[in-house]
Amino acid sequence: MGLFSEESNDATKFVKKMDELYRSNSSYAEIIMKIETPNWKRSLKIKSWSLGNKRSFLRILEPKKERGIATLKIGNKMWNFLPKIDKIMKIPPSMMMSSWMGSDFTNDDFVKMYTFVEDYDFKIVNLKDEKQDNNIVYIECIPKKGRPIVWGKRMLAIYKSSSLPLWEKFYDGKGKLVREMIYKDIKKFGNKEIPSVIELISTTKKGNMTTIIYSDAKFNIDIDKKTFSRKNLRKRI
Amino acid sequence: MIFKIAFRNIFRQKRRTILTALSMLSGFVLSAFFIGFSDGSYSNIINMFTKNKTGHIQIHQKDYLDNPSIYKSISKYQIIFRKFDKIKGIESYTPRIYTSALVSVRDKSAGARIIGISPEFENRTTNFNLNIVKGGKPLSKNNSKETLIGIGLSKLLKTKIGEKVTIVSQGADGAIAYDEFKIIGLIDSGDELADKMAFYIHFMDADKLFSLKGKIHEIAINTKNIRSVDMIKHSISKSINNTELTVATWKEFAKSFYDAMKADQAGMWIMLFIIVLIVAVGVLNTVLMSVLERTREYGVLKAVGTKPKQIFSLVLIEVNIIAIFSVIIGTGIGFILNSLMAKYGYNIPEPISYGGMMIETMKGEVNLRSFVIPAITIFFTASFVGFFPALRAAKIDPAKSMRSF
Repeated sequence: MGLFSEESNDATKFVKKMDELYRSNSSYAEIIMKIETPNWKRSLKIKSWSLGNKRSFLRILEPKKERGIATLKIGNKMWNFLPKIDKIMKIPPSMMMSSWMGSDFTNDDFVKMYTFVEDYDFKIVNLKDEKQDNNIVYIECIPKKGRPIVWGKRMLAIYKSSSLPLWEKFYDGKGKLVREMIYKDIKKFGNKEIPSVIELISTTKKGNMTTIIYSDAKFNIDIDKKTFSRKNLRKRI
Repeated sequence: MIFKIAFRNIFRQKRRTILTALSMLSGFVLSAFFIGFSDGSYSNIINMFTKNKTGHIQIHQKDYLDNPSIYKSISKYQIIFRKFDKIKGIESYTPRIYTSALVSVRDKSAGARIIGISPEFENRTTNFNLNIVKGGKPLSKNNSKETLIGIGLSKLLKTKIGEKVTIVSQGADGAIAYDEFKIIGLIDSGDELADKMAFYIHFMDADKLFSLKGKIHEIAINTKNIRSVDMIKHSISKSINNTELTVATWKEFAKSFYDAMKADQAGMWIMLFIIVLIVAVGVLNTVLMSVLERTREYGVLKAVGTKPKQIFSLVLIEVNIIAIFSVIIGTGIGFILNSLMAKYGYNIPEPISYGGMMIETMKGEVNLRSFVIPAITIFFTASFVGFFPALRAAKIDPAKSMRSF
C-alpha cells in the first residue's frame, strides 16, 4: 500500500510538471512553427504570451503575407485578428477541433482548458511494447467522467530524473492512435529546462507534421493583463 | 376467306365486339397514361436534380468525390472546354471551385461551403440565377468580392443583403486565406441542407483567395438529351484522354439518388403488371363468352368441312383485329391525354420533398415507350387469352354442338 501511494504521488508530480511545462505562472516565447504536408511546406515565426492557464496570446511575425494575424484566448473563448481586413473573428465552439493556422495543432490545443491534475485520471503503467528503461516512466491518462474532452486516452513517457517528457500519444474514443508528440532538444531558458523542439505527427493525415522550435522563452515574468485584450489584438506591428 | 369470316363475325355482333374492344382500349389507355405520367414525373425530378443542380456529367480529379480536398484539382480546364465544342450532344458546361471556410458577420460565425462559380457559365448551364431570392442580384460578370449566400446560412449568421461577411480558410499554398465579401443576394435552391452551407462567389475571386493558380475542382456538363448521357460521357473521356481525371454521369456521382429513382420505377412496373392482368382477365372473359355463344356456329362450320386449324385461326384473328382497332384508337386517346399532362401537369395539393427538392407539379411525358409497351402487352394478352377459347372452338364436335340448341 505504501508503495502504491508513493507511486501515485510520483504520477501526480509528473503530470503536474507536464501541466506547467510550457506555461508556469506566466510565459513569453518566440517560436518557429514548421508545417509540412504532402502538398506544401511553410514556416511561421510566432511570439506568444501566457498568463496562468486562462489567458494566452499569439502573434504571427512571418511570413509577410500573414504578418499581424493574432490569436487571443481568454478562458474557453478564442478570437483571431485579421489585419488585412481589420477584423476580429470569434472562433465558434464548432471550430475548436479545426486546425490552427493550417498546422496539426487544433484551436482546442491553444485553449487547453483542461489539466492532467484536475481533469484526468492517471496512473503509472507498464508498456511492454515501448523501450524498457529505468529512467522512463509511462503514465496513462484517461479523461474524468463528464469532461468534454475529445481524447479517449493520452499516454505520456517521462524521464524520471528530470520529469521532462519524451513523448505523448493521443488516442481517440475508440482507442485508436490519432497523433503523437515527440519532445526533443532539452534547453535551459532562464532557470527552466524545457524540450525546445516539439514534433507533432498526425497519424490520421499521412505526411503531415508540425514542428515547434522554441528560440527564446521566459517564465514567471511580469506580463500586463492588457496584453490579453481585444485592443492588443488589433495593434499593428 | 377466313379474314372475311372474321370481319363478318366482328360486325355481326356489335355489342360483343364493342365490349371486348372497350376492355382492351381502357387497358391500353390506362397503361399508356400510367407509363407516360410516371416517366414524365421521373424525368422532371431527375431534371430538377441534375440539369438544374449537379449537371448530367461531372469531371473531377480521381477520387475527388470519395475524399474531396482543395488539392485534388483540374488544371488547364480551358483546354478541356475547347474540346467540348467538338463533342456532339453537349449543351452547356460550367467550372466550379469548392472549399470550406469559416464565415462570420459581426459576432456570428458558421462553417460554410465556398462555391466558386462562373456567373455566366453557371447560369447558362443550371439556370442558377433562378435560385436567387427576390431582392437579390446575380453575381457580376467579373470578380468583385460579391457573394450570394444560402437562405439557411443567412439565417444562421443573422445577416441580410448589403452586409459584409468575413471568410477565413486555408489556401492551396497552406497560407491563411481570408477576405471580406459583400452579400448581394440570397439563394433558395430548394435544397435546405445545402442552403445552410452555401456561399457562392465568383470563381476568379476564389482562385485568388485560395491561391489555386487557375485550377478548379469540378466541371459540370449538361447534355442535350439525358438519355444519351453514357455515350457522351464516353466521348468526353476519350477526348480529354487524361487518366488523372474521372468523368462520371449522374447515375454514378448521384448514385443514391439514381438508386432511389430505380427502386421507385420498379414499383411502377409492378403497378403496370397489375393493370395488364386486369385487362387480360377482361379480354379472356369476353372472348370465352363469344366462343361459348357460338358453339353451334362452329359446329356448322365444321360440318361443312372447315378444318379445326382454320377455326382456331378464325378466333385468334377476330381477337387480334379488335386489338388492332383498340390500339389505334387508344394511341389517339393516350396521346391527347399524355400531351395534356405534359403541358399542364397535376398540381400536388401538398408539395412533397424529394431528395431535398420541393416538388409541386407532377408532369406527364409523351414518349414512344408509353405506347409501344401497352401495345405489345395488349396483342400478347389478346393472343394468349384467345388461345384457349380458340382451342376449344377448334375441338368442337359438330354433331354434339348442333344438337345443343
